[in-house]
Amino acid sequence: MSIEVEKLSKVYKLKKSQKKVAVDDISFTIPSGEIIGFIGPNGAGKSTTIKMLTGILVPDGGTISIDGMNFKKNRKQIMYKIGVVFGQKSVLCWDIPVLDTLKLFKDMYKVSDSVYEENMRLFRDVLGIDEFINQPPRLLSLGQRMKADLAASLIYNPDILFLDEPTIGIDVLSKERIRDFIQKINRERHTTIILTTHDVSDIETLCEKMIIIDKGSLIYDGTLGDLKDKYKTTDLEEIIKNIYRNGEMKYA
Amino acid sequence: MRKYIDYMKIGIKEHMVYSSSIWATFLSKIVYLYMQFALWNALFASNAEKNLALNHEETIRYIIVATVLSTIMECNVIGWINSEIQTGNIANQLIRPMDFRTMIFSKHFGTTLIKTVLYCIPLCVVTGVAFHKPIVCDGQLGFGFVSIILAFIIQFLYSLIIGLMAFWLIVTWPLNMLLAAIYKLLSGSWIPVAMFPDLLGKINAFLPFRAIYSIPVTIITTPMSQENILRNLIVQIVWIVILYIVMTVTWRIGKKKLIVQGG
Amino acid sequence: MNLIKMYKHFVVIYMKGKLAYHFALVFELIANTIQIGVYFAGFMVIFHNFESIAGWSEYEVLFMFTTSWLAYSFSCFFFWSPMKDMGELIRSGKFDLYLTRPISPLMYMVLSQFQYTFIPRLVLSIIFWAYSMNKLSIDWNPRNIAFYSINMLSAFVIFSAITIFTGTISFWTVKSEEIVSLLTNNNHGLKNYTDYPITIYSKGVQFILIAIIPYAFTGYYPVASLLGKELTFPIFAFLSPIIALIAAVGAYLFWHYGLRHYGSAGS
Repeated sequence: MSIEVEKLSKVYKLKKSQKKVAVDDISFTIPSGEIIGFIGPNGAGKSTTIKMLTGILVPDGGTISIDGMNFKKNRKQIMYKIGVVFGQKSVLCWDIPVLDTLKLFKDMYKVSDSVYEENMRLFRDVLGIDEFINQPPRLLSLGQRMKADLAASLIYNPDILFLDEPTIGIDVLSKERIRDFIQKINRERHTTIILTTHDVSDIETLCEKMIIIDKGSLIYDGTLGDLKDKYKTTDLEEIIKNIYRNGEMKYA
Repeated sequence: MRKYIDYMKIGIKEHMVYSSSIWATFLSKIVYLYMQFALWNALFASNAEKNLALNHEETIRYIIVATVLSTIMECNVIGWINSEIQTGNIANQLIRPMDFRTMIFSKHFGTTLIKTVLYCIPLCVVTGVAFHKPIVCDGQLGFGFVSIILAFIIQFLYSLIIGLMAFWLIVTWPLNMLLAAIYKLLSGSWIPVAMFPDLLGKINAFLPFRAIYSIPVTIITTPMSQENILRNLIVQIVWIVILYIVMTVTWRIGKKKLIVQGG
Repeated sequence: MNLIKMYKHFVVIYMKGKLAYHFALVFELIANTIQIGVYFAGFMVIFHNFESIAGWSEYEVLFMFTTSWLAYSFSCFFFWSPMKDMGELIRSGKFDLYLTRPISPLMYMVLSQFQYTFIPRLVLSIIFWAYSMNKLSIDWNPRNIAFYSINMLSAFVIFSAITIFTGTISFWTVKSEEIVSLLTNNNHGLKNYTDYPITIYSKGVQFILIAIIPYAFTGYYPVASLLGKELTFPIFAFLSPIIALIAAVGAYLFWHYGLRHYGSAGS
C-alpha cells in the first residue's frame, strides 16, 4: 500500500480576501511497508497534509493516490485500509469499556472472527491490554489509553497507519513498549506507518526515512542516514533545529 | 471596596464576551413575548365574560412586564459556581482576599446592569411603541422599582443557596433543572399567579418564588391599594431575611464540606 | 443487516456506559420528568381559567400537541444529541475522527448514542395523549388510522430534518447555539408556538410556521383535519408527507454541502 502525492497544495481562505498557503506544491512517495517520520515546526503544514492524506480535508490542487485509489472515487474502500491514531484525541468511545469499542470496530470494519482473535492475542501479549480492557478510557492512564487507541486502530489490519504524536505525555516505559509494538507491527505485517511527532527519540528509534515540511514546502525526503551525512553530524535534534532556524530566517 | 467594583466590571465584560449573540437573545425575548401575547389574546377572545382574577387588559400588561423583567432577573450564579467546582478553579476563588459571596454579588450586579442596558431598556422601548395602550400603573411605578430591587435580592440569595449546595453535592444541575421548572411556574413569570387554582395558590403563598416575579409585576401593572402594596413589599422583605439566614447557614456548612475535584 | 447489528451494539454499549453513573442517570430522568410535568401543569392551570382557545377545546389542544411531541421525542432519541454536539465536535477537532471511518459521519453519530433523556417526554406525552384521546370522540376507522399514522411518520421526518439542519449550521459558524435555540427551544422558541392552534398568530407568523420551518405540519394540520376543524386551505391537511419529503431532501443536501465545505476549509 504505497502513497503517492503529486503537487499537493492547500490554500486557506481567511477573512478580507486574504489567503494562507498551508501546503505548497508538495510531492513525495511513501513506499509500502516503511516507517516514515513526518516532521516540521508548528504551523508548517504538517497536520494539513496529514488531514489530506486521511481524507479529512480536500486538497485544492494536486493528487493523492493510495494504492492506486483516490478519495474522490474510492473513499469508503480507502477508509477500510487506513488507521488513524491522534495522540491528543482518542478514537475510543469515552464512557464505555475498551473491549466494547473493539467489538464495535470489528462490526464496523467487517473483521472476521479469526482475524479478531489473532489480533486480540497480539494485543494481550505485547500491549498487555487485558489489564485495562474492561475499563472505559476516562479511567485509564495516558499510556494505557494510547495502547487502547492503537489496538482499536489496528484491529482491522489496516495497510497504512497514521500516528499523530503517539507518545506525547507518556512515561518512558510505556513509550518503549509502544515503540516496540509499532516496530513489531511494521515488521510482521508490513504496515506502512506514518509517524508525526516532535519527539526526536521516537524518530531515531522507529524511522528509516523522514519527510520534513516547513512553511508548506518539502524540505527533505530521504533516509535518516543520508540526512546525518549531509549535515555531518549524528545529532538528529541539532539537524532538525538548524533546519527550523533556516526556515525562520528566510522569512524574517 | 474597589476590588468589588472591579468584579462588577468583570461581570459586565464577561457578558459581552460570552454572549455569542446579543441580537439572538433579544430576538428570543420578542419571540417569546409575541407568543404569550397571541396566546392570552386568543384565550380571552374565545371565552366571553368570564370572571377571572385578572381581566384581559391586566393579563396582557402582566405578561409584557413579566417578560421585560425576565431579561434582568435571570441569574447564572448557579451555573458559574458549578463550573468553578468542576474545574477545581473554586480553590483559586476562595483564597482571594475577599468575601466569596460579595464577589459573586458584585459580578452578578455588573451582569445585571449590562443586561438592563442591552435588553431591558430596548425591550421596554419596543413594547412601548408596539403596544399602544398604557402598560404600567404610573402611580405605582415607584413602589414597583423598589419591589424589583427586593426581588433581585431574593433571586440572588436563592440562586446563591443552590449554588453553594454544590460545595458538597458537586453536581447540582439536575437539581437546578428541576427547580428551574418549578420556579418558572410558581414565580408567576409564565402564568399570572392570580390565575392559579386555589390549592396551588395556597401552597405557593409559602414559597419565595412569587416574590420574584408576581409581586413586582403585579405592583407595576395592577391597580392596588397602598396598603396592599406595602403588605407585598413586606412579604418580600421577610423572604430576604429568611433566605439570608439560610444562605449564611449553607455557606458555613459548605465551606467545611468543600471537596475540590482534582483535574 | 450490518448497520442494525452495529446499532444494537452501540446502544447497549452506550447505555452500559451511562448506567455506570446510575445515580446521575436516575436524577436526570427525574429532573426531566418534573420539568415536562410542570409544563403540563401550567397548561392545565391556563385551562383552569378558560374553556377553549380559537375554537379548540382543552382536550383538542392537548391531543394536538402531544401528537407532535410523540414524533418529536422519537426524533430526538436519534438526532438531538449529535446535532447539539456539532459545535463542540468541530471546535475540538473530534469531528475529524468521524471522517476517517468507513461509514458516514452522520450515520456514525446517530448510531453511537441514544438520547434516553427524552423518555420522560415520551412517556408523559403518551399519557396525556391517551387521556385527551379518551375525552374526544374521534372515529378511529381504518382511513383515519392510516391518515394519522402517515402524519406521525411525516412529523418524525420533519423534526429530524430540522434538527439536522440546525447541526449543519455549525460547519460555518461554531457559535450558533442561540439562533438554534430560537428555532427549536421547547419553551422559548418558535417550536413552542405549535403547542397551540396556529390560527391564534398573525398571518406572517403562520407563514413562517407553514413554509419556512414547517412545524405546523407536525401537529396542527393533521389533527385539525382529523377533528373536523375548518381550514383556510383544506389541502394542507394532506401535505405533511410531501413537506416531510422536501424537508428530508433539503436536510440531506444541506448536510452534504456542509461536509464539503468542512473538507475544503477545515475548521
